[in-house]
Amino acid sequence: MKKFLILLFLYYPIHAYTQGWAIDYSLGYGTYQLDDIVNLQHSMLNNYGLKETDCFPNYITHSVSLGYVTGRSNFGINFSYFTTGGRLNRADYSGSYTVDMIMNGYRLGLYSRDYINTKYPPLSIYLQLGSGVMFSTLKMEEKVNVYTESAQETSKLNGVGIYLEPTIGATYRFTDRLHFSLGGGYEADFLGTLKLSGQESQIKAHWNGFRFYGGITYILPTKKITL
Amino acid sequence: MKKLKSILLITSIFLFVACEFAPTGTNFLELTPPEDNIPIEISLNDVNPSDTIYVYRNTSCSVNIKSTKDLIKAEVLMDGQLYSNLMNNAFSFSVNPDQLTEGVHKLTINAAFTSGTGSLAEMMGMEGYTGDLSWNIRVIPNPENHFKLGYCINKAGFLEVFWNNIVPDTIIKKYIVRSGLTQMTDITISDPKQKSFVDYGYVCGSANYEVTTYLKDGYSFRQNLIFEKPTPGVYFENLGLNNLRIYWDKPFANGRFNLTCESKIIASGFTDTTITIPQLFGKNRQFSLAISPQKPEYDNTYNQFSAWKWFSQGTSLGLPNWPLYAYNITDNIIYTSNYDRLVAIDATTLQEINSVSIIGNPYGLIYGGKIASAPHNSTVAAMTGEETWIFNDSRFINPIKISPLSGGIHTRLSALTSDDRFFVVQGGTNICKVFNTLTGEKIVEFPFTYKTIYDIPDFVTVSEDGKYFCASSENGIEVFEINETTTNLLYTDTRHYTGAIFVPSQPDKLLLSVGSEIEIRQIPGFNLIQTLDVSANSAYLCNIDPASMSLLYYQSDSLKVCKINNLKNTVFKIRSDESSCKMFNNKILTYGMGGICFDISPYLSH
Repeated sequence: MKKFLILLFLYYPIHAYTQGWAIDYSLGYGTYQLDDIVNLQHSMLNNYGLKETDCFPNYITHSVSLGYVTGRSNFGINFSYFTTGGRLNRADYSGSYTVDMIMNGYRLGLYSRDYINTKYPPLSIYLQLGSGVMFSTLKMEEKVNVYTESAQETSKLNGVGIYLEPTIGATYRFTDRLHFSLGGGYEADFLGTLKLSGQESQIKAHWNGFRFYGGITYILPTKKITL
Repeated sequence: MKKLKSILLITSIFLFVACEFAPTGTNFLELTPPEDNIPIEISLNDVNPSDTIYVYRNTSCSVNIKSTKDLIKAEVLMDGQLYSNLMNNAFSFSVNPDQLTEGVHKLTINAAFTSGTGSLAEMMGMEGYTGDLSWNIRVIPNPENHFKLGYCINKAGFLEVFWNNIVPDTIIKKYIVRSGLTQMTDITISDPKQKSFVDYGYVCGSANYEVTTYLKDGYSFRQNLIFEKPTPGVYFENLGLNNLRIYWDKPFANGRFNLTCESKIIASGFTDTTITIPQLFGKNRQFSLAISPQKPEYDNTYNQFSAWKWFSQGTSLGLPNWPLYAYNITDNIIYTSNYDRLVAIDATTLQEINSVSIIGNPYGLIYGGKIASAPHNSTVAAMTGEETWIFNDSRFINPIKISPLSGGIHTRLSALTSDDRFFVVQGGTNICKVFNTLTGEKIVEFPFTYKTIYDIPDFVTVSEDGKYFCASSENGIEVFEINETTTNLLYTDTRHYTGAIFVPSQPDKLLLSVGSEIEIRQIPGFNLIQTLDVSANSAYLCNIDPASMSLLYYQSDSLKVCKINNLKNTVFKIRSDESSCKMFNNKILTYGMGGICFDISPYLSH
């Protein structure tokens, strides 16, 4: 499914204009600090022999943005989706015990990007600063299967924080309407305390880490449109 | 076109979400599943589960659990309810009988063990081994309250102390019986099935038993039994004239009896409660009964009992010792003395009619001599230590006092005659003094030759009409005829006399005890009318009853009565030691012993 989406955008014929609406999709890779969440997972280690099999690894990100391009500037709104997770597991002949912790982040914010021309005209460097709110969910799911007995319990924590992400990257103007871009930045999160059923916890969802993007941008010209 | 782009945007967002991270790691351990069964050993104070555990005090229970696997926990259940939680293989808990109801309870020890596999199921407590073992517990709070003592008389007649114990025999080690009053040492009963003890040392009286139950674990409890049974009383039953039945209550347990009378043993080691002995008139005898256990080897200081009672044949007049007697046939009154009082008693009913105190200076009647009563009227004379009082009758008023004319125990004669004269021969003298009873004046006095040395019986006598006087002694006799103030010796001899009495209402007949015979002589001729040979057992004259005209005399070991006109025919005989009795109106009266009276009328054949 992911590959299909990438191909769909790559072969979508568009032309670039110097002024217009830009729709951007980026597939990225993020590193996540998530210290509190990791500590939470580690606190359950060795309980009934649980061992860590997954510990919130760096993972693929998805971002879409809608911005307005004018000259060398691009500003607009951006939505990103981060996901990672952890697992504690213990299994033997008698059954298994699994604790899955799925962490999802939904980031919605504004960005401002400035392009810097290079000696190779289709290629330009850009600097971007983005900020907004980060909606985080931590879904914890415990599953026990011992002999014929089984039990499952799920809990969900939600939190809202603020992020700030400076990014540097480069775009390649494939056509006037279609640009490719590569970039990387660092996201810093603030606030983001998770709540369980409205009750505030001690855990903060700080997705701090590096972000790497590779995206495709479709320009919708506002002055001249050629299809 | 715009719509298509919007759809693409929204779809892409949902697709992003669909790309949520999915953990895939596993941590599977290859472990060996547990065996189906493992050996488990649970012990409780090393008591076999088929045995019952008896709890009668705060009891510590030691539990030991052994298995090849580790113990997770153990529970003590009492009747299915959690009683104690235990966490070690060896532990103790206590059972308090006060916290459980009396009766049988089921104590179960449940033990849970690990499977030893280290599996997830084991860690979650869903895999392991369990074992349980149960014992029956019988709770007996305060067993001493159920330890009851009782007593009874067994078939052999001995006291048997028995007890009931709620504690079963299997846990009893022994009983110890302590009875300080009947047993010299404590009795140990080593057979728990024996629940009684025959006390051969108890016969009656106080009993104090302490029975202690010793259990095999050293615990003991005791109970006391205290009771008291009366000491037997002594009773008498007249079995006719000659036999006396003495009987007493049967003591509570078999007894052994010694019956004594005035230090003389009547029966010894006797087990019956009745004995018949000969009667003995004239004595107030004290019979003492000593009661002991039937088996002499059980005698001790505390189980010896005694009972005593006085008995006299006849009726006591309640007089002091040595009372004086006189009989008035006209009024049928017996006169006697009671210390300083002159007492008149109805000779039939023996009820006191009247009395008068004659206090002298310093003697009075209490130290006085003889009393006399007239044969023809109601006159009565009493000689005090200083003087003689003569009353007209039993009203005891206006006495004629003859002073000085003292009487005493040695006075030989004190007699009123039908010619209103009072004849006195004082002790140690050989002179007879004669007074007028109406005036108190002395009429005459005359001497006689043979004075006796004995106070009793009568050796000196005067006929009722005052015409004849006789003085006898062991050396001889003189019989005088009295005419007003002169005397005439009618007869004399030197035989050995032991008594002389003129026959009442027959003044011409003189009863004599002489040599080995009793004679009646006709006066004045001194002719022999009757004779009774008493040579085999010498006789001792008492008196002649004016009412029945019977002679009372003592011979050998008995008082005998015969009619004066037939001395040889004994009409009544009673065993006695008293030789100084008198008989008036068929009632024999003792000189000593408080004046015991015996009515012989029922025994006379009319």
